[in-house]
Amino acid sequence: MVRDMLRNLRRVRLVEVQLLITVLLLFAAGYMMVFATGQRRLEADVGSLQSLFSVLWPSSLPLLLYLVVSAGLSYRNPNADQILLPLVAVLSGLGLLFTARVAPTLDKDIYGDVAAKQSAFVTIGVILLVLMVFVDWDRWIFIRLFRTGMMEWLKNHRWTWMLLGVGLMVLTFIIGVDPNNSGVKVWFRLPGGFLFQPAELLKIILVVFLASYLIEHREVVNHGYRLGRITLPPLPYLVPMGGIWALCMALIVKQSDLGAALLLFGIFIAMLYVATGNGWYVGASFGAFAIGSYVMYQYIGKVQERVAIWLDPWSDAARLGYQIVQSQYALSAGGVTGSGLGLGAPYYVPAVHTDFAYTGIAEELGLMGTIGILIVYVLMIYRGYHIALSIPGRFRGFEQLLAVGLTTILAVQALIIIGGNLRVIPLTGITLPFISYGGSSVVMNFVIVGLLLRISTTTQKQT
Amino acid sequence: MQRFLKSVAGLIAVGLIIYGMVPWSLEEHWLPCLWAATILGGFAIWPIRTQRATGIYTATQNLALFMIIGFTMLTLQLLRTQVIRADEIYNRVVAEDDGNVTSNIRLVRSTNRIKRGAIFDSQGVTMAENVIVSDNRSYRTYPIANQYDMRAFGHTLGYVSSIYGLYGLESSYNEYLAGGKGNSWQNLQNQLFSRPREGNNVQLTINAQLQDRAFKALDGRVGSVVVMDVKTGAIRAMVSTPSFDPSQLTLRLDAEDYAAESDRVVNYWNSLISDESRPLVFRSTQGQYPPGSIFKTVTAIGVLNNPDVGKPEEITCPNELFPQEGVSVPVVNAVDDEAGYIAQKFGQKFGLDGVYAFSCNTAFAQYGIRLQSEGRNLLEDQARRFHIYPSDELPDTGDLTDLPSAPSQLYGGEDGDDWWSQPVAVADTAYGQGRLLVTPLEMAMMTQSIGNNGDMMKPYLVERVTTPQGGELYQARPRKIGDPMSVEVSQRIRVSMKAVVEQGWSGATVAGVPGYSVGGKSGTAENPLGAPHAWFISLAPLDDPKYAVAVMVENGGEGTSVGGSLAGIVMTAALEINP
Repeated sequence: MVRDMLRNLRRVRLVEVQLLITVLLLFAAGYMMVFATGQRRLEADVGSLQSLFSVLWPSSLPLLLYLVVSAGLSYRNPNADQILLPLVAVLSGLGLLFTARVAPTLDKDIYGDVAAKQSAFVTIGVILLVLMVFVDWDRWIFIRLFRTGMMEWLKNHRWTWMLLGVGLMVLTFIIGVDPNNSGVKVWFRLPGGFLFQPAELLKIILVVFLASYLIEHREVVNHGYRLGRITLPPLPYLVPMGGIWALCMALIVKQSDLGAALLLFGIFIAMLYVATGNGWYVGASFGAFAIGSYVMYQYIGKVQERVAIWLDPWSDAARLGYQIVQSQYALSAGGVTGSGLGLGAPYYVPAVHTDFAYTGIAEELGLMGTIGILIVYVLMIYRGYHIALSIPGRFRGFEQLLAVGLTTILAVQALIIIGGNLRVIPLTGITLPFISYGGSSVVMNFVIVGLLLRISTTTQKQT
Repeated sequence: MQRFLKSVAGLIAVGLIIYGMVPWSLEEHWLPCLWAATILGGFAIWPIRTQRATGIYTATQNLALFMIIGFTMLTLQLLRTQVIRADEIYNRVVAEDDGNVTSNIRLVRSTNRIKRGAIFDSQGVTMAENVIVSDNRSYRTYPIANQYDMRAFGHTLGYVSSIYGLYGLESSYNEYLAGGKGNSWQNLQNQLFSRPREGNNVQLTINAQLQDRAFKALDGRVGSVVVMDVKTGAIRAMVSTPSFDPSQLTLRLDAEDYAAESDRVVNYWNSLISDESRPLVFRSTQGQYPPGSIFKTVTAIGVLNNPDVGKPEEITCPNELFPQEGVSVPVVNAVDDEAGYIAQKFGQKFGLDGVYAFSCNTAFAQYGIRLQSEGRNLLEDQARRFHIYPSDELPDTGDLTDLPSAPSQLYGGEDGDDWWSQPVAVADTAYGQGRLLVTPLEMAMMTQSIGNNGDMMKPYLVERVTTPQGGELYQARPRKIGDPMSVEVSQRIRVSMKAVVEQGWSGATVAGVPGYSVGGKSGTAENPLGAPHAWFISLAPLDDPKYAVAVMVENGGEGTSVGGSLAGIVMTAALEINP
């Protein structure tokens, strides 16, 4: 009896629990700050319990859920990665905190109650994560219905995924809407007034398809076609390369959705490289993308605009460059320590709760906050690749590649949007993983982490 | 070999980053530097593998390394934007051609949170002060608006707008007014007891009543009036028209309809920047105009300072003068037979007083050539002593440092020195045309130095700065900044200026003030943009000068009548208000 208890105690994921409690304390302090400064601004009754509760409840719920997930993991999958969940908690907590901070400055008629909605999204995300990690899908559904495990099932239906992906794209072209005048029609209006961004699902589908496809054709690496003195990649690589290139170009032409195009292509190149280990394919793909982009640049006004305001936003500071100029002011206002949560003026940057969340946090938390976030992303990427590489056995290439691809989604997305915020690359409108406000993005990020955690449960040996 | 290349690449990358970070590197160089450094740095740290590994393991490591390089790039950009060059970006102001100004809203936002100091006129009348609305927030109000037209004070006071930033003294004395300078101990106390931060009070040299009368005297015309205290250089009035009302640019925080209030300010601003007459330009300090005949004062003083060369009393006033061989366009006078008019008043053997009073162009062309001929450079030297410089010596700003001010130019242009070496150029300059560009303030300073026995004083607008408790933080001290003439010459030229008003063209008598002896000089500056600019400088009382006045009406016409009457009204007001 006592021995049983002791054995169970040893299974408690102490590292994860400690980290999660630290994160909780951090955000408790952050919320107090947001609450106090908000009260001062609104001149409301300072210190009333009710008002404190109204600020705290939407965010405390998902954060407490992490502790439940951790407890569940201790019970069911004590060997799953212990670092990933606290990292997700930091980022999503920061997202909640910052959304709660800027919510009062946003027009409620246009955006609704973003703080409550973001909490709902994170809660849905965590619940999805719970479902993915705890439900024994293999045993209850996949084996029964398909006579195969979940991973195998994902791997075997690659053409379904491809069709689904292309279908989503085509649907976006046809029925896409632009509800908040962002200039790109990349949302679906679902029944019940919900908006869904298919690109968020598309990136996961692309990773699943590529992982399956590339693993299948791994053995043909060296069977290139000779065209005079040039060795072309073998057909099985050439075709998807061309296909995805065309898809990304179509995204730019039809939707002006530079961000999604860059992201999808980045994921593709990364996975192609990991699967083949061939740097030349990467070079060739980059070249094709560069040429395509250059041609686009010549003909598409929006692309030219984006490049011009990237190179010199100040020359058109009142109009096209406005957002970037305001973002530069906000960044420079941050300094080393920032103005303090609730004490800056990040809301002068348009779209500060979505595309420019990083800039907003930069103003109020300063260099310490911004570099802190970068470190969290780097750690998360490291854990993701670590999970991929600790998969034992030679026959699990699909899972390895899947884990690499999923991690790369987070990495490339963070690089593109932070780079755009900081004016390192031209600005493109995609979300900052876990931090930006937005339902589709938050939920899909949790699906990614769910898949990673699920893969990691099977990697480490029972001890 | 590869290791060598890698270390070179790494060093270059570090060098590029350091260059991009240092304060004197150009903004547009940074992005190329960052990208080049990233590529070179990436090459430098990329591991050398002895054998080609194609496994997923190695490839994933490389991919991770690629991501790390990307994040390092972001870190470098953060370091530069948030810390190293942050001040520069934070304070950056972009003014576009259409007058649209983009500046960091945080600069003003931080000023809304403090009780900004008040601004008083020289008599202690409150011109601007802050009223606290709630929650320690306050906004600018203008108590003198009940008495005077606020447009009279637009340029000197400037505005405090939470949308359009700061302008005028509100901008240049912002550190005092916002309390950032001078009372750190008080600020700390206020912060600890969460009291509003209080700014310091600024007292100006401007006399609000005189300022208002000068503005009214301009009567809607485009121009400028400057009144200076002769002894100290204190500016008693400085008006530029068209002007603006600073109270219209302040958001009243207690307005009932905030959106309407904001619209009101935006509309007013848009009306200002779309106005072709450019009401936001402070013509007194920043307008550069040809001075016309009032510049003859400089030439005359040059002659008096160098009597051996200039021979002030040996002068003629021909109808035409050809100063240079081969140049067929002569210097001419405003009217035919000016010498005859001069002789009626000053006798056949007239001298400097006569030609100065009747503003004889051909006479001053001769004076100028005398000062500049045979390798001498006396006219240029005299102009320089009045802080009027050739364009290659032009300082960045004028003598006034309380506000942005433009310098004054003797001559300029691509071929400036070649041009100036010709007698015809000297002749034109000597009677006030040529390539001269002066500010109204500089002409007031010239007049002031004549009244002050040849000592040119630094012009100033701020008399003192005091803490909210009354402690003195700053007190202006009159400072001599130039010595353009001797005491004797100043007394002598005052006689000539008296002659202008009392014996010269009959129109100039309008510059006089009953009961006082007044000296002056008119100017009618030809310019390519339309009717001539009307100028007038005047000095009174002549026995012990107190005020120097310079007026200028853009495209106003005759200096004698238009300028003279305006100067007369302003001088009368000055002597009435504070004799």
